[in-house]
Amino acid sequence: MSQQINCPVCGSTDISSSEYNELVSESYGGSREIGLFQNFCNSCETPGDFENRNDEIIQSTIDELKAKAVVHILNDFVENGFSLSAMERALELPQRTLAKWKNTGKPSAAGVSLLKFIRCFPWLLDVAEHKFEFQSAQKIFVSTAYYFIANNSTYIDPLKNKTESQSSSPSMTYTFNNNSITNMTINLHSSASNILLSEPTINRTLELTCDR
Amino acid sequence: MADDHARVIKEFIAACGNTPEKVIPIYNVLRDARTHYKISTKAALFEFIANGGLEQLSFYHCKPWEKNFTQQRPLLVYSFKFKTLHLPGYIAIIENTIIGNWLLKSFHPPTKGNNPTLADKFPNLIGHSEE
Repeated sequence: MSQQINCPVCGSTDISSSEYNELVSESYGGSREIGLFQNFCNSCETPGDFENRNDEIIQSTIDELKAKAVVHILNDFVENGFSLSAMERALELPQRTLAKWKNTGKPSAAGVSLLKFIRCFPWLLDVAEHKFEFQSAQKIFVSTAYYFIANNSTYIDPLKNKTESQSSSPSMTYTFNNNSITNMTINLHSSASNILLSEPTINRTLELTCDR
Repeated sequence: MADDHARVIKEFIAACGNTPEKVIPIYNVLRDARTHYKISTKAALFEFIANGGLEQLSFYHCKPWEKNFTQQRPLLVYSFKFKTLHLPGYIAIIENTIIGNWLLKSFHPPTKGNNPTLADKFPNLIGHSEE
């Protein structure tokens, strides 16, 4: 037997219910269509979720999609040769933190935000590697922008698909035209973090292939 | 009662924190909060409001609710504009003196934008739509 609902606006009990679908999306986690409920007061003609049924459905869907996003993001890094240990070191996270997130899919809300930032802007790992020192961060940022412009404004995703990339060292490479440093490659996949090169190594134009 | 807006918004914000069960989002408030501000649930919306989320809050207008269901004690809609980080917003609330709760009627970006137009400056000439 269903509980009688009162309209929170006018107090009437003449309430009808209907269902509608809504698409819930989560960056890097995909999207899912869920069925939500809506009440309607036939007396004062006010719609709303008077029974509080939707919050739980929405929250559980978002949690599920966030868990998927975490797994997708970390898989992207791993499949492209990034070591979780190296990332944990660069981000000053306790070792195995990312692995736990990947296995459980349930980091904190702050953890999910961090993962989205580094997936969207992988060069932030270089910034972290440089201890978030402002001048280095600016150089990395400007260099990234330089390559964006130099490649006909085509976004270069450092997280290249493994099948596309034949390179054994998927490094992020930046050119600093400042005083002594002319070209620089920062390799997060080996113990050597800085390798000087004479030529910039990112010369391919890759579309951002994240369609999740 | 249009000059009562300071009390109304103060009590509404306090209600969001202290007695959220007495704050009822109606119409598309929750969907707009999800769509425009990434606030997913009712609880999250109330926490946002109670914790000072409505920045640069300014009174917009007060007028009788167009959907008033009784003419004996017509309810008033108090609307305010706010900012959250860089996003502008519009919130409209009703103090439901009949049931004894708060109705959150609107929570979305201001439809008129930040730059006043001639229509904003001379609303009496064209009539004021209820957001």
